[in-house]
Amino acid sequence: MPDLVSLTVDDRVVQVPSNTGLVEAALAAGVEIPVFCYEPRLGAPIGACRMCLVEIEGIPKLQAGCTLTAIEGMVVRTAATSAKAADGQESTLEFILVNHPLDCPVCDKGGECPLQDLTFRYGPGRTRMTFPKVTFDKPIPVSPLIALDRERCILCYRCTRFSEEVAEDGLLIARNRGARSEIATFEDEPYRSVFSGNVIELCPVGALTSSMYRFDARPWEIQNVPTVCTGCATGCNVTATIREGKVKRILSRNHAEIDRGWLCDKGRFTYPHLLARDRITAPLQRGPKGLKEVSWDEALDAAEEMLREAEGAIVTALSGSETTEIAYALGRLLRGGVGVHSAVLPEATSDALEAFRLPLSAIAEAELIVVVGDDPVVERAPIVDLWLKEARRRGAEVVACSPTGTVQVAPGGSAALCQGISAAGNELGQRLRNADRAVLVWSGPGGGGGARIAELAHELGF
Amino acid sequence: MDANNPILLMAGTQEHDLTRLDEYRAVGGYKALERARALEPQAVMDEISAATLRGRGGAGFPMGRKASLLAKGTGKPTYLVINADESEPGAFKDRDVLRMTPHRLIEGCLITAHGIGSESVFIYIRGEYAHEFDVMRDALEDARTAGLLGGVTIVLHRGAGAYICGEETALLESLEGQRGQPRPRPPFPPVNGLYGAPTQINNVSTIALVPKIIELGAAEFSKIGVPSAPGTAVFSLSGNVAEPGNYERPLGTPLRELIYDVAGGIAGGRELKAVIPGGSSVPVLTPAEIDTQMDYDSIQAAGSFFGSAAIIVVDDRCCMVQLALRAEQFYMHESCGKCTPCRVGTRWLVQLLTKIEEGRGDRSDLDLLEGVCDRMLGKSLCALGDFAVYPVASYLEKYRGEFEAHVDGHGCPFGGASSIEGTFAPIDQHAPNLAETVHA
Repeated sequence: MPDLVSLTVDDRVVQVPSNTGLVEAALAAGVEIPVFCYEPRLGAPIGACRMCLVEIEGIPKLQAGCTLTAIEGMVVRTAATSAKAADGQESTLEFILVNHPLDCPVCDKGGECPLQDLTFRYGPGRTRMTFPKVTFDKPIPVSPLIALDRERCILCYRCTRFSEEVAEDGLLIARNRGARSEIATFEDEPYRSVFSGNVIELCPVGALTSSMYRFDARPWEIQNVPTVCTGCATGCNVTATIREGKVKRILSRNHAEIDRGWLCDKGRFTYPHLLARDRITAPLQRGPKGLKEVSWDEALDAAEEMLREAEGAIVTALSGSETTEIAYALGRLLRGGVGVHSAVLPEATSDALEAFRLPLSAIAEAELIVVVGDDPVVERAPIVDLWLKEARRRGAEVVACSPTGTVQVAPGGSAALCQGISAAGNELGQRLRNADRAVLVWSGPGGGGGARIAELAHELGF
Repeated sequence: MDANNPILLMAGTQEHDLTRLDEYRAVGGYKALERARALEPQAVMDEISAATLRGRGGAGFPMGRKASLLAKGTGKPTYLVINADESEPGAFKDRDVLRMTPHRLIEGCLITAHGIGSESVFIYIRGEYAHEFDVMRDALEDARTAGLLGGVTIVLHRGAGAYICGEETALLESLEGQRGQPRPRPPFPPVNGLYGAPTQINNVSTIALVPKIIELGAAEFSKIGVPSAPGTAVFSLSGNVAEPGNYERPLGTPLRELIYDVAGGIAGGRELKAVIPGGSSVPVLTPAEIDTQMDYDSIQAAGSFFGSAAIIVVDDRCCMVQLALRAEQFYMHESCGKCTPCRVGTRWLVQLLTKIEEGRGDRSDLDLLEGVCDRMLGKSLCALGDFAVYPVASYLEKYRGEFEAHVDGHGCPFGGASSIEGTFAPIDQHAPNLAETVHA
């Protein structure tokens, strides 16, 4: 158990674990410290936007709350109880709005915009700025998927920090300085990244927008439906934005153990296939003249009839990318409803794995990670690659055993490799046995990978 | 040593070419290093602490106390970083140390490195100081060849022309190859500095005084200057004085003496209008305030800062609005853009001051000018945000009549004249068309 410290935020006493960030500590006391640039998933706080200015007893100047951690006995006053802090917050918002174009009526972010919300709650009611604002050419297509509006940008550096410190591609940069500071791509090359779309969601204003969603919907005419991405076996939690019955965009939905709120571009941007013209949207029944469209009732009746006639002599195959709930429902139907006893999964999992299975977030805590399998993780399950990167940033060693990895393994050689690792005297195997927090990751096409990893884990005494 | 006018930093530079190792040695150079290395590291630091050597870079924080904050037992190396990114308009004291007595700085680095247990020293030199860099490089090479470094690596790093890199955490970012922008503090550099390791950062003139402290002893050193700030400083006198230049004097020398006795008074026999005592970023003093002593505490009591000991003297021809505008154009140009108040506020102040200077303003613009200054002050990530406010806010406070004359008379009573052009870089560098679109 970490030590608890006690602090006072706006006259409310609260106890939090030591080293808790002040923004979180205030939240625990039921007090909001508003922020723009602060985003704990992006590494160390930078204190750039100055939205979180608070008064700390004993410190003459206002402090950026996001850069501080809770200390025993600390007395914090936010805008709610400190005129000085309120002035600080209003100052920040006044400065931010000095150059912001205020084109909210035509901005995709309008209605779901942190800048709008915080201005509504804390901002000045009128502007004192009567001079030309900073104007930039716009929009800049930083990639075919993302448009950049530099006039709306408030320079919180969330996007560049994501690129630098999470995706580690270094493609998004800030350049020039002062009032002419701007977000750009490195050497003006297109922002080609597996994870580029995350910056759209990170942007607290409408500076980075999705080219596919741009001007397509207003927030008050959409529904957000929670669902799970079926792009790969990771199962990232997502929200589908629906307008008039059609999916208009996919957003992340933070699951701390799976995706931490990140999505890959495949998961985020491939939804238009749902609207493909040649997509089958009604049941088809094969007859003497080929396929014929039938009603759902007819189709279900026909299916039931055929399943009952088969009397259990059925093999069912799942694709492996169903959610747990769908797979469970299918299993129940087939086992209980129609008496099926066997099932084939192309992405072979193994019951033996259950003894060792950990949430993906455990990767970040590991000290030694061995990735086995022919495919690069970033292609097989992109989000897992972000977990590996985070682990590496925290000091873990990641050993990739694949045709392109740090340990070169010929294609198809993973089975032999696993045997080698578990053999006595193998150096990597020994280190895996000795490590306190070791993780094995399988990244390859189906066909027993899971069982192999389970076997290896068993051999290593995990 | 002349007891009335002790010279420490620049000692011997008039009579000798101290860029040469043999001549520096002839005046006793590197003897202090020898003596320091014979001492326990803590004894060296105790001597520096006893001398109350206060940082000559601007803040005046005692060097010994700074070193005592260095984190111990981190498993990481301890670094010594020398801030030679002298960029404050009006300041040119470090430049003379670098180009005239480079070995004194190197000796100071080596003594300090011994004292704090560092094997790596980085000297971050302002990019425009090309000649000074050459001098330092040659001197360092000579010291290395002579075997004086004793296992310490000294790295000379040239800046790329950003004022902000004189801010210590921006300097560290720049040294690491990152964008030169300040870091939030805490964590402070003595705990988490260069490459996340404990780091001692000092100004050129601070470190170059270290050999003299070892040579004279703290007791003798403390007899010079004032008790709260012993020693000397090189004062850079510029603007409308008869004999501008660098003058080393004890701390506590009155401003009046520096202007009138040392630098020959106001050029052309004109009237003194204003004094900016610590480089362009500090609050202005009026002629009535020049009996203040030039040391950290006295000047702060008078409402300004010691800063970089760069005294800019302004005569009666100068328009204070024009001067404020000129200063603000510099700070707008040099604002790094990381935090909101400084990035946005400097540009807004330039727009307001332009309007007032051109006679298009009214009295409400003066209130707004004051309001924008208030909103910037104390809210930025680093000190530059405040530096950018002090000139404007203090000129407005102390010379409000001149500002009012601009708006009431719909024009500049001085015809836009600035008697100290040259203190800043040429105007075309700092005055872009603010209404123009920034093209992609």
